[in-house]
Amino acid sequence: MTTQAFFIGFFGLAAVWFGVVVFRTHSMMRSALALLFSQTALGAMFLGMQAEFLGVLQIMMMATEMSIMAIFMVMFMMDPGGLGEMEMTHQKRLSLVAGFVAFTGAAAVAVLFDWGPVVSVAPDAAQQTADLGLELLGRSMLIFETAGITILTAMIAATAVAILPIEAKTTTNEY
Amino acid sequence: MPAETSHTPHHMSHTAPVEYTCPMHPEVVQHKPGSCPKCGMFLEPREVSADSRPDEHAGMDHSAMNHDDMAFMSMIDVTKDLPRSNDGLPMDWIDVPFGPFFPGLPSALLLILTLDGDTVAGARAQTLAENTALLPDSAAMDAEHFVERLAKLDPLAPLAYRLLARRAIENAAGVEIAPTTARGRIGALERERIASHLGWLALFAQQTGFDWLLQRATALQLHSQQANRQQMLALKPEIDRLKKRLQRTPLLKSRSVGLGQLLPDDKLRGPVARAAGITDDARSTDPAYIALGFKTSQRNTSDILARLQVHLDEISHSLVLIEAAGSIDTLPLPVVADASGDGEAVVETPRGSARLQLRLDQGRVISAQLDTPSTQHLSLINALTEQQALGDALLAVGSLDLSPWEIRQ
Amino acid sequence: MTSLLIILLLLAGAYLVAVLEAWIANGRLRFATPVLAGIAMLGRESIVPRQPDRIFFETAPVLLLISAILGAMVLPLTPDLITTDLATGALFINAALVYVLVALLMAGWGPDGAYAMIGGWRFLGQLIAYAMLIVMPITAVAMRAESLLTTQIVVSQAGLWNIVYQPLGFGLFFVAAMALAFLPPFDLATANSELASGVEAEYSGVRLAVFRLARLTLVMTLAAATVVFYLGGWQGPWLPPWAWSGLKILAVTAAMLLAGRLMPRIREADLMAWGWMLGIPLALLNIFLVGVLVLVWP
Repeated sequence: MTTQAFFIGFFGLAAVWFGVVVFRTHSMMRSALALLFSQTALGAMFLGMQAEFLGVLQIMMMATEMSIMAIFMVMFMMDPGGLGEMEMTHQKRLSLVAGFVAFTGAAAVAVLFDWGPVVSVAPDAAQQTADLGLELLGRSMLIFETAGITILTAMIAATAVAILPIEAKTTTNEY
Repeated sequence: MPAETSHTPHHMSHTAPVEYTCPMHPEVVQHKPGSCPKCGMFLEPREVSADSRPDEHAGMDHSAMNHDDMAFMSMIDVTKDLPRSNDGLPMDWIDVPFGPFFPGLPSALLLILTLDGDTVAGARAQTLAENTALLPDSAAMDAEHFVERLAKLDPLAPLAYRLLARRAIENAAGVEIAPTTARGRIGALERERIASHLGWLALFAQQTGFDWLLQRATALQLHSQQANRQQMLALKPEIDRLKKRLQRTPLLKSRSVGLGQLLPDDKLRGPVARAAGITDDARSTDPAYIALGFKTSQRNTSDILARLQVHLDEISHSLVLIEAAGSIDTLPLPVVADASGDGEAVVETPRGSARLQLRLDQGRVISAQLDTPSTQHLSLINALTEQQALGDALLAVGSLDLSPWEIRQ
Repeated sequence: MTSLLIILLLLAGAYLVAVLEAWIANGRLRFATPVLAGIAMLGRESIVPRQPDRIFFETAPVLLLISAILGAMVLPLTPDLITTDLATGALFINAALVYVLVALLMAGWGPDGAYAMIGGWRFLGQLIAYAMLIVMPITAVAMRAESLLTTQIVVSQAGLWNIVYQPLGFGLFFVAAMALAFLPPFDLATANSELASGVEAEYSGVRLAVFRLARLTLVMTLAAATVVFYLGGWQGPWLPPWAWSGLKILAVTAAMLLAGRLMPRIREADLMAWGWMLGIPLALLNIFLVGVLVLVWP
């Protein structure tokens, strides 16, 4: 139990630390990968909390997502290497307020909400995975399907908006 | 990296009520254009509004100002001035040197590509081969010496240039060549063509990481360089096998169809021209070749696959010519005792036709002009690589079969 | 104890892959070459390029190695020889191997060189093409086994190996695994003739040795995954289970190494187009077919 608590605390602190590093560095690449390792530490926290499937899923998904974020940051930002010591922060007051409100809200929910009785022993990982599958295909199916379709629609719409009009592209293939 | 722009003359700032600010750091405001001290971005011009306090000292430190500006950072503002390639994605462009010793290019060729991500936005090419054997324009030399020098011009096709020099001198001296000698020369030239075209295949294989082809083509090339007629003819089944194998190699088509296309142009020479549908071949007007039943190979699509096919066809046809020629000449030195006159010769080198004009005076060459195929092809590189993916661009440059040694800049 | 044994086996496997690679490349079977090459590499100076991102530059080869080893941790060589039989094993191997991408991005960005950087970003594009073709065939494999336990997946193939049960999935997974291990013809990130070895370009000496070892281990891990998911794992007549695992893994490795020599390198645009326009529909079809088979023939 204490080892478990230790690891949860350790990875929690690691997640926070890497979150801080995101804003301490000038390099876009370091910033993106620091965010990745912050998320990986969150995944490790899930593992510490015996939520194996969630933990592994978090560790897997974030690697791709943050890498893709990294390439966009490097592509679009001036001075992605941070050699010019670019200032990464802006709109400080707004972000301070937003951060404070979000933190207070989350903390309030954590403390004030009635989470029901604590289960003394977590079910084993295989059982959890099976339960999660049944949950996803049962009560929560509508929510996840809606979210999935929405994301897909957004992706197609974003691509459609981003690509050049057809007539502008014909010049390259003319021969 | 944005370069430092030139400073606007001082009086301009008094006449135009414009100040410059960073799209990402609104607190940075200057009277003159330049780059942001915090992030290096170009400063954007902005009209001075009524309430904004005019800045007395045009220094760099404005951190006390406009800290609470809530203007939102916009990706469109940030990227709208970057150069754009065809894919529409604005990115920093970088200049990357390829060569002079790059695994996928002929040695001594320096290619500087401006890369926009993985896409080529521009190209500059030059040869770094300082060929001391290049023709000295003033110095006269005797004919044998001249032939030897020209033979050393291009280590990738020594025999073709030796032959070129010989024929130009013979032409100047009015020497007639016996048909058997002419056939022997054809044998030698075609042998060199086979070796050179196998080298083209090996470069193609190396550029595409096609190890099997690289091994086969290199082995055959080594074998053919010094082979006699019988040994050359014994290569035929091997080359047929190679061709058959290439026809059913997966990914080969997708790697070469429609890539590296060139418009038919009078700069195109040799196999590159013949792959573009131009029947440019010095051999097709040579009576000795016509007597041996010479046919030009030709393709029309002008892409890398067409060049591959032309090279393969020519290897086979060169074997036929060697068989018909009956011998491979060793090309001894010409005997042109004290002849004088103007001479001209065209030889179809493995890379295309090379033309030599010279003036002979008392058995000494006093002036010479040389036109080589690679010199013409070098100027095609920009059009060939523009807006191509890096791998395709390098493969297209390789398919020109440039010889840095024969390029005269 | 088992972990140590697995790591030693991986090392031995990496050595065998190196011998095999040299054998396939130049036709000479020399058992000392990898060892000598390794010693030579350790003896050479390990140059740090100018203005590197030091953290990434140093971390990348090690992260690549860790990623490959972690992937191997959930693969059983015999019913008992497995480091940790995770309840989410078939998912975990994906999670571990995604960090191959992170390692290559680091190796690309770290040394501050154009060749390496382009190589790193190319691999990101490559991942977009192959990632779904790793995950979706594994989904179909897990559907048949009704479990994410890798041992259970092997047991589920007792009657019929998955290569026969779902050949489409096997083909897709095999190709995608080659792309993941950036083996030719998918070596866009380390292409010698396009990028002067790409992400490997700025590495030398001991760092390069770690990088190469990691790559060999990665090939082993992916071959082992192919064996576990499609070739019935340790199962086979006459020979003991560990021998079957070993033989199958070596055979798959040899097939992966040989295939790349016989064709030119794929173009990035084609890889992307085929991955999405051909590969993903086929993978969905595979899931559908396996679903039907599981229902009608349990």
